Amino acid sequence: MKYRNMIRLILYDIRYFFRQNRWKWLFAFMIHVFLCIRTFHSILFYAGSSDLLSALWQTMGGAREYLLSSDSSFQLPAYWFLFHIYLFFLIGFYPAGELYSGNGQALVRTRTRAMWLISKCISVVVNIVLYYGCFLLTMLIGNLVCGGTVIPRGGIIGLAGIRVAGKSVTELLTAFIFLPVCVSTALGVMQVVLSLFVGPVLSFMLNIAYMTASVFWMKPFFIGNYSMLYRQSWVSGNTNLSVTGGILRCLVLASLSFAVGMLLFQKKDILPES
Amino acid sequence: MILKIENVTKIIQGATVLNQVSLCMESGNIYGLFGRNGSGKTMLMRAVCGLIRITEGKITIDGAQQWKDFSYPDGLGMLIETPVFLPDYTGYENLRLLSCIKKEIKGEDIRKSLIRVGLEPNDKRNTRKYSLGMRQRLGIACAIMENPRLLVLDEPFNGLDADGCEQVKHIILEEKQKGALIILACHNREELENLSDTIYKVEQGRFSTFTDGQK
Repeated sequence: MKYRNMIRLILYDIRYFFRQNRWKWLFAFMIHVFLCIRTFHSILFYAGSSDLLSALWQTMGGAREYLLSSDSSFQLPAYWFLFHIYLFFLIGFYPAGELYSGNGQALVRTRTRAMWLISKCISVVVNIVLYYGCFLLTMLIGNLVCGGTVIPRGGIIGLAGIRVAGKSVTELLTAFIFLPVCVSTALGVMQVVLSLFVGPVLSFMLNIAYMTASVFWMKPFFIGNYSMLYRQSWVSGNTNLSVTGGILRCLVLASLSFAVGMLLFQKKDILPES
Repeated sequence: MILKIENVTKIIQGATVLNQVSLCMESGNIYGLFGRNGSGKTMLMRAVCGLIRITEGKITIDGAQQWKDFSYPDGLGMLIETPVFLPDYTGYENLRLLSCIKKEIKGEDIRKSLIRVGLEPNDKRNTRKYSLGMRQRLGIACAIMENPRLLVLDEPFNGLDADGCEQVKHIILEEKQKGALIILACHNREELENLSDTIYKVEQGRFSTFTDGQK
């Protein structure tokens, strides 16, 4: 019975999310198309031939470690930043909005507050996976149109000068897709939980600040580092930023955010001024 | 259904919004709450609905204690504050979406609820284009669509024209006939007196019986 209730609630959340955010989703698709066009344009211009991994690298690569010196200037990796920040903009406003603007109409139809929060977190994860899926599909289509291969010829991502030859499919999938999805999920859950207590705008701003700090400091504490391919240990050589460590940290952050959120949400008053 | 509110106190940021409230309510009756803005009417309704956690006391329904045996009353229909719906969808689509959570009713039941409140179920207009009164009617339809056993209505006549008020009064009395326990807050004392079996006067979080057994 509880299982069925949960499934119904998750389906409700997914439907409500898409109905409420269909324009945001359309804009997300446009961003993916923009990233795709810009990526393949520069790859074909500089390297002459295209491939999927090089294309993904253009967005997911992020930036190399920033070293503070008198003549250095701090720059955000624009496309990596745009990709992630838009994702947080897409997902972060839904749970708090549904709770407060709907005056708890959905909440009182659930059995418990725990069910409500679990359902919201699951719907957020579903949207994150779909966002990445949409991006990957756009890149795949772009690569097909450009007649590119999946792995670069010679096994080296030309524009970045990174060797991927010898890496297994699992290793590549983990580095390029799975780990960034884990990072986005952990930060997404944290943002959603925070939004219930400090509001969706502030929690979104905090996430932007956290991602910016991740670019500035190459430390495992800032898990945004794990979603930048340049910073992962197999590229940077920094053993603190291993793939396994990244997945574990993401799990800990997501679980901790959820557990703390659950404890606090159980005692939260749902008031309109919230 | 017997709803017991025993020594309920709610303190928010140092302010006592409900002060040692003790009430007993039974099915098939309408309980009116009358008082100034900020006196605690809505807060008590929120407490009963499970939207706020009380600081002291307990709320029980048929002996089962809230936050111990249940979080939200079973068979609850509520209208608290101005209802907000998805603006790009019709009234029917909005209610249909909400009804998917419990899946206790069918599309036909939603249509009937909309007709009862004076809305056209096949109206293709989005709720964005609804007037305040139409939104209020939709909110009432939302509260009654799942055949509530406990109906909590906070200012249900807000924004309604004379016909709308009559329709809502009729609905409230119908729900009473069906055996629902109804808690009603309203600024219009005359309307409250006409509808309620018992009226509680609310002042600074304290509840006192204003009229009892008038109907």
